[in-house]
Amino acid sequence: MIALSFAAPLVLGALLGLPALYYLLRITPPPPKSVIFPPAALFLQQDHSSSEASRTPWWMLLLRLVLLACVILAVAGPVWRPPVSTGRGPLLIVLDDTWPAAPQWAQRMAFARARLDAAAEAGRMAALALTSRAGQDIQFQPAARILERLAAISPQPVLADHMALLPALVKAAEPDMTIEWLSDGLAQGQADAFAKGLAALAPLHVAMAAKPVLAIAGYEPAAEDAHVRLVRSADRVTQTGVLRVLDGRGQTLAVRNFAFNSGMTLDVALNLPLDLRNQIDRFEIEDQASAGAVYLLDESQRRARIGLFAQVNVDVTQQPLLSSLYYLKKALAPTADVVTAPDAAPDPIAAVLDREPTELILADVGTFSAVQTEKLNRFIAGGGVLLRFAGSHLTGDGDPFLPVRLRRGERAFGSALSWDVPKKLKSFEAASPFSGLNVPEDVTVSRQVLAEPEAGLPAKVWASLDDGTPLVTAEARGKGLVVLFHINADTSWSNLALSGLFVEMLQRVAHAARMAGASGGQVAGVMPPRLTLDGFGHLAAPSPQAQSLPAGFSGAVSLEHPPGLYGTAGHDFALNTLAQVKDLTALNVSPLAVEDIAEGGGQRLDLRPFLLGLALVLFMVDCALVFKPQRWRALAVLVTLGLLPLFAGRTEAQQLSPRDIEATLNVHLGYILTGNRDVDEVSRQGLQSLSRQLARRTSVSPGEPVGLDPAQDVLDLYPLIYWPVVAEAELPSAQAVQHLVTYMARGGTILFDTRDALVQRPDGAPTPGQLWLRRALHGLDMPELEPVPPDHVMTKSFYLLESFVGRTTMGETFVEALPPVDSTHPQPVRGGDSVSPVIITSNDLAAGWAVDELGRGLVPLIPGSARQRELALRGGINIIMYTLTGSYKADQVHMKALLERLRN
Amino acid sequence: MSAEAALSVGFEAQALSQVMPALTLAARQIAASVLQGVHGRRRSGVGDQFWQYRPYGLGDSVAQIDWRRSARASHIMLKEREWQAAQKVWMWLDMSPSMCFASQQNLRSKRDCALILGLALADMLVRGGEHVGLIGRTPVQASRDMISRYAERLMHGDAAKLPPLQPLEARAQVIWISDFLSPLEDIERCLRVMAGQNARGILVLISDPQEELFPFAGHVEFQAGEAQPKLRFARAEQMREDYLRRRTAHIEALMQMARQVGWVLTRHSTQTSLAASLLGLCSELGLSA
Repeated sequence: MIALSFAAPLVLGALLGLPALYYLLRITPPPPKSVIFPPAALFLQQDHSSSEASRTPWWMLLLRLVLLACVILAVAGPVWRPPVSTGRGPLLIVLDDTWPAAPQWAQRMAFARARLDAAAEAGRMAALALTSRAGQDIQFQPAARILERLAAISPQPVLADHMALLPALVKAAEPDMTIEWLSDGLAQGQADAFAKGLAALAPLHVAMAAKPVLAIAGYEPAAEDAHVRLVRSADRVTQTGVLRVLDGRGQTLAVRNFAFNSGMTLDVALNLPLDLRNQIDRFEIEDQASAGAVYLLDESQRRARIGLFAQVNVDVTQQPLLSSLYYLKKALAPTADVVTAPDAAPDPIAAVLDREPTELILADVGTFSAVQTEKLNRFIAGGGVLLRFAGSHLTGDGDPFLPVRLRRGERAFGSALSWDVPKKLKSFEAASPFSGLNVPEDVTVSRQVLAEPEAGLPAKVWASLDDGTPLVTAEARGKGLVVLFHINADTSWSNLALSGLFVEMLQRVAHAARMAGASGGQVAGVMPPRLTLDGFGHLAAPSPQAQSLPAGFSGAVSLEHPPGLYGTAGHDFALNTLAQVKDLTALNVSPLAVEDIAEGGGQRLDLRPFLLGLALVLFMVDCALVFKPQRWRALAVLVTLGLLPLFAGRTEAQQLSPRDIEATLNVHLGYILTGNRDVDEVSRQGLQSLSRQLARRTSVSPGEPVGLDPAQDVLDLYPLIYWPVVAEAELPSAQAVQHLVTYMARGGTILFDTRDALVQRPDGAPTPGQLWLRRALHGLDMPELEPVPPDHVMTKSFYLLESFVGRTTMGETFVEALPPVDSTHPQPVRGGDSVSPVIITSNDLAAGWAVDELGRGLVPLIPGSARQRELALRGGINIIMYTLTGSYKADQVHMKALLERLRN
Repeated sequence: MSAEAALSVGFEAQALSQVMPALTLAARQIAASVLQGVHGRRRSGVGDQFWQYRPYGLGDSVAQIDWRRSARASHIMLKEREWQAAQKVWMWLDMSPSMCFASQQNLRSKRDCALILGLALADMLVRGGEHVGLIGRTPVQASRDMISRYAERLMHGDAAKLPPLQPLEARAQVIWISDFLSPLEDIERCLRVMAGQNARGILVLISDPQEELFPFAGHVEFQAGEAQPKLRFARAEQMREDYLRRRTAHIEALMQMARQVGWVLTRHSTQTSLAASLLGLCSELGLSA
């Protein structure tokens, strides 16, 4: 099978012309070197023997032949590794869009796309069947349309249901069709029978990924440690990977390497302390983007909720260390959520039970009411653990919630009337849930309640003193446990509560409670889906097909019940992908050949650009060789020209237009183009007449005013930029703002003109123009602004003015605030240190300046006195002179006049 | 020839002539001219040197009376001066297209060499008291800015290879600077005409090193000038021997012709220094004043 094909093979016939070219090049000699040599006429004689043609050197001939061959091949459109086309008739693609297929999804898509491309080129019909759902309508359509559908398919977090699809395939079967099955590699869902059924329908090609499927099957939290069980679909190959442990915020708690040597299941030990284990939210296998590689934990596997009630007869606020609640809370707080009854609850035990703890601790409670008994019974029957501490109230008479019968009276050691010393604890037996815990030397028990010896007592004993007296007894009742500590929970009977052993023992009991609760204790009622996994293992909003789980759900995942978290936050239930799936078996379709997905979907490579590039290089070399006198120089120039496009993109020189260059030669006033034609025209006319007046009255002769776009143009060339504010215009872009900031930082001045002095009210709402201005200047670092004070240098810089008028006269002009007046050195005119970067006015200044050549105003002025235009122009001249000269005028020419005016 | 080229050549010629002494021709034979020069003619006439005193005769000019001598003698005495005549030097500088050739960038073209040599010589001769003229272009004259005046004249002049066939005065001096790449018969004819009146002369042959060596090889196409026929050779190195043989024969014939009319042929290559050639020419031409 040749991997090269041509789009236009007939062009290859031009290769036949190459020998003709060879002959042609041989008979035309290369051009000679031409020389001007004056003595030639006199002293050189031409005779026939010396004028034979020289020949083209053979290597140049070869170069040119290869060049032409490259061009001909390129025109013929060569394509490397065209997709394999199997068969002639319609193509049926059966795609396993299940979670085991998700890790190699891109390769599968490339494979399917390559097959469909080939089918589209051959003009075949095609159909696509997805095995994740049954009940599809399979129709044969032009392959191009199936290609479009292909882009929208993503894997589902379910296992394939092959056999349910087979009838539909049989119904849709056409004669002469071929089937391509992109299998996910698992034999789940009767895949081998499916393969047989397909093979019976039509010629079948199977393609699978080479790597086995990896998934997380379960999580077993033991007392000391937790294990994660991994399964895979292959056997006898070594496979390594990384298991990532994540908490609720998505941060990694731990990373564990695992290695499958042989076998299909593996238990990975976590080696994490209990409080970290309680924070685990989910497990993920790295680099396996599939729903099976994610395992979610719900509340039932995390912190236990322990209800606590202690009958205290001591005022806890005054002497907290005498209350058993204190020790219990301290011991339980790190690893469990402790719920207590609200303070003034009438029935504290019932109130605690209503909070649905997994364990209930009662310290020194002797009697129960009927309601409490009922509730406790239900609690224990539902799998809760009742842990009781002895105390002075505990008598044992008629107490239904004791694991053993108690002997009347207590036993006291080490009191005044006893002969014994306080007893120590015996080490725990292997059968006890406390086995493995270290018993400290200094834990002693000085008083306890005794159990009545009876037949099954030793089996109920979890811990005992060193003379064999039971210390902790427990009895299983239904699904739950009743545990009794024969001491009380504070330090009056023993100092167990002070030791670390107390905490550990309580943790063990809580663990036993959790184990009991995990299997049976579920939230009653229907659980709506909260977050679901998609085929790639991403936890996201529930898919549209997800439905609520009924209580006590114990089925496998399906499209209606996708894996994820159900219920409400805090009471959720995790349905994991491999629920009810014990192991994964690999698919074996042995009589049929299996293709590897990674190889089948190779992209076709168009060779044309390479051949044309080679032809271009050869042409450059040929040109360089022809120019003999400066051969190397020509070669260097051509190579540089050829490589120039590579570098063209890197240079980012800011192009200066001729207008910019003109702007550097002379002073030009700039105005911002707002996009509103009338406003821009008025700006231009106004600035032009101002320029004319400047030229006539001052030594400044500005050129034409220039319209600017702050985002694109170079602003620094203009000393003043006039900005007419149009409220409907767009706010300046980020780049424009950047340019403005730089411009103002470098000493430019922007004159903002909101042009709405008529509608402004001094205490009223801001006008649209003002709002626009505020938003536009929002990001800029604006100096503090103040109305132009009467002694500001801008009012004195050329003419002596009091205000700046334009089309209207009543608007206020704002400039950068000057430093406060220094009373010790009074100055008649103040300028500050630099030119104000911003001048804000609301009298339409440009309209006030705009005159045509004959001196007639373009825009009527309000109020329109004859002098107003002259004053407007004077104001404009003052502003220009201020921006051009800065504040030096503050101590200059008008001193006498100013002093006279000040005196008046 | 462009104005700038003429100017630069003029500067070079000026520079060269400044370092040379003024040249006075050996006055073996002085042309019959009324130009006042430095060569004494052993008779009375216009000049500076004292010749003789003689008594005043009828018809003599009154201005020539020397009253002091007359006072000593008893009758009126005239003072006569020696007739000092200037020699006339005629120059022909070949400005034809074949002279504009320079084989390499760093060599002067033959025309530039000819110009510099010729103009420097003219300046030296004028400083030495002779008069110089360009054949067919200017009359014989002597002026301070000889070089610039003649450079300008040459710039606007025609580009003929051979001098016009006009007879020159007897016993004038001729200087012909060219590459002599013309047929021998034409050169001989011009020589005979110019030398007919006993004029003395010197031929300066200017050549380019490429013309002397013929360093071509391979497939070369030769063209003598812009509109000339092309000669193509597949292996140019095979023509070298033939070429050199013909060229040597040509130069030999030139020398023979010059000897026959009593003239001298000197050679100058564009890669040798102009000052050396100029000194050689000076020693050929005459005494330095």
